[in-house]
Amino acid sequence: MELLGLLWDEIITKPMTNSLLALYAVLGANLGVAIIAFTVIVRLLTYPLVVRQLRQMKRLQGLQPRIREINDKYKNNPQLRGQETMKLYREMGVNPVGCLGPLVIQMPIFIGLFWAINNVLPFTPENLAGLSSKLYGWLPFLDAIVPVNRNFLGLDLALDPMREGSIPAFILVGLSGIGMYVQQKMSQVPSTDPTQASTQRMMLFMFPVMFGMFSLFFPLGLVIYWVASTLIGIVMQYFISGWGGLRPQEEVAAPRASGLGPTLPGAAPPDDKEPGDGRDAGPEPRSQREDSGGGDRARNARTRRRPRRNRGRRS
Amino acid sequence: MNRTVPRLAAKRGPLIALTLALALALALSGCAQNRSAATQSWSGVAIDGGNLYVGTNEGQLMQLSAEGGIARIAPYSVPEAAESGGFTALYGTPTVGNGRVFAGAYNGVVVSLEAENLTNPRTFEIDGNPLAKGIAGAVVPASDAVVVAAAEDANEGRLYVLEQDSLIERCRYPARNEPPVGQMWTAPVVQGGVAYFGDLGQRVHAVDLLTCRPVWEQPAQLGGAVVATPLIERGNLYVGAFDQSFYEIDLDTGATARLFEAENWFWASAVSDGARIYAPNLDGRIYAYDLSAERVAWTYPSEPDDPILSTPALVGGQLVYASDSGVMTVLSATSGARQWDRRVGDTVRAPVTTDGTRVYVHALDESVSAVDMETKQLVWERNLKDVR
Repeated sequence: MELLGLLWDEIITKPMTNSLLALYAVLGANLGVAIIAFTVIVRLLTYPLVVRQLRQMKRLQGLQPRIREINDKYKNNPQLRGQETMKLYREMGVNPVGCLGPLVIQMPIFIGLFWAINNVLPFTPENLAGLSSKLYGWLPFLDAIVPVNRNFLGLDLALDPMREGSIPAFILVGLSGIGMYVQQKMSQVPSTDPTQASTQRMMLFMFPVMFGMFSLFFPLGLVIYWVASTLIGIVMQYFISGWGGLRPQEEVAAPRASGLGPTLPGAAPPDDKEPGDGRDAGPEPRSQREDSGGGDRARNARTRRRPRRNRGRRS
Repeated sequence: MNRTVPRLAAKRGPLIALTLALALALALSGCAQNRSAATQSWSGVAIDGGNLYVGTNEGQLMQLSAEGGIARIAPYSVPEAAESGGFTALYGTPTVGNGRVFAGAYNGVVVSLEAENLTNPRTFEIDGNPLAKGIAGAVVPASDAVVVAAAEDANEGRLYVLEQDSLIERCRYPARNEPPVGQMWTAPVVQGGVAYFGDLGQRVHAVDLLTCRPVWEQPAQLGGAVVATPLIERGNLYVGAFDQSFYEIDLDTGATARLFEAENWFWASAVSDGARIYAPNLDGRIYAYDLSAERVAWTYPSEPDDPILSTPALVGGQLVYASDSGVMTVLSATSGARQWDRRVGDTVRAPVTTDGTRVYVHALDESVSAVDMETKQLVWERNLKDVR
């Protein structure tokens, strides 16, 4: 356990603490700006992973009609139904809990950053003394900038919103919960399985509410990180997979009616290995594909540009 | 059957969500702040006649007999601040003057008690943000006043000069209508009616105790934060900072000169025997600086060791220091050679105190040890938890 703590410290906490302080030194001794810059860097570094997760999520979305077929086919045999579903996932290289990826990736960073912020913003003399052992000797300029200025836009970043007690602090808490809800809603794959659907519904509300409540007791520096990270995540997700679950179903159906939607069999290009385009799952009846979530802004645009060529290749 | 399966599945959904939510809650609960258990203070031991005075992490001021470490009277508990939120922990070593004992708590409350029986309390509370204000250094008696350096907010601090008898405020630096200076987690040193102290804003100040006006044209600017109490020797101030440098500051003008560098922050105060200055560092070494030769005479140990936050003591040509390792080490002040050592607790951060024959050490595990310097024996050891 001690070894685990040491590893955590060396691999996560120390690099984060030093990076945060280095950014603070470079960005005009403003910790709030340093935390936001740190968030941008973290999101850029984890971008390939997040993109992979989002693509997998889309692939999962595309499999929904086939999963429904399995559900219908084996509705009296849950065991076989489960086996067939898993087999399909395996065949298509899909991880059913892949949509939790961005959250899972962020958790160690979030917890690491909590400790980094705690290190950087010491409340007590012993906390400050402890910081000396967290700084890299080869970055001597960091010694000259501690302790850091804790104020950002009139907020004490070391305090939790409950203690800070100001309206902007509570607005940040609200933003963290709303942002989480929006991001979850965008990334959620509508499920045909009643268990999954029920879990999704619960998680959609429970996680943001819980997170918002916990945020009341996080240092504000951490809340700023989460809000910035969620906003960046929403933007990234929009450009990769569109509004996803946020888009009303009528909107999804509308372009299809005009023949421009992504639901036309073979509409997506074969070189475009976008999951969820129906190619992996094989051609499906139009009615089933309409439930695949739609909302793929980028795909719609591509489909509009080159429908003929793709259709030819597909067949 | 057809209907029961989805119904059961739908019932399982909330359970799964609840389990996931619980896992998230567990992961996040460690991140929620818990300030109530956050302090681990390190008050040193003050000696006055046959009594010892020591502060605790719970905000109690205790009197022990120097002879056997016996507590004859009940400890005094520092009151809560008017606006609750701070800790009552005592970091600074209590001080004794004119029959009264003084201490400053981390919640910003200064207390004065009759030294004999810890009664007749007087208190004064510093101004500032109740969540960030505090006193981490000693309350220093000076003539008919006491001086205390305090943190008023996250990045702000002030020096308070109080009447010694009544603890009524005489003046403060900077004045109420002036912007505060950097946060202070230190104790001032007083000489000739002037208080000298450093702040976390990397400056050292000299303030007249009658007027609370600065003596120097500008505060002395150092390269790092200062928590050590400056040492006065040969007309200069000597203090180390977080930039790993040890400084000499002209007492009259505030002009600074960098003397030498260590490998980590200077936290504890330096001590002097008139010829040399002994400065402990968080790199685990003691640096002996020769004032005449103007160079570091020796360092001990040669390799980095456990951090030293405890101010050492000089006892008859020997330097006694304790570190985070919980070991008290005795060195020859002349050569820096190790004489002997002994364990005195789990971690020591409080200053080592001496009456000339014994040293008293208060460790973070709340044990107070009295060690005879001649026999090298532990005379007594008391845990303040048991004494309470």
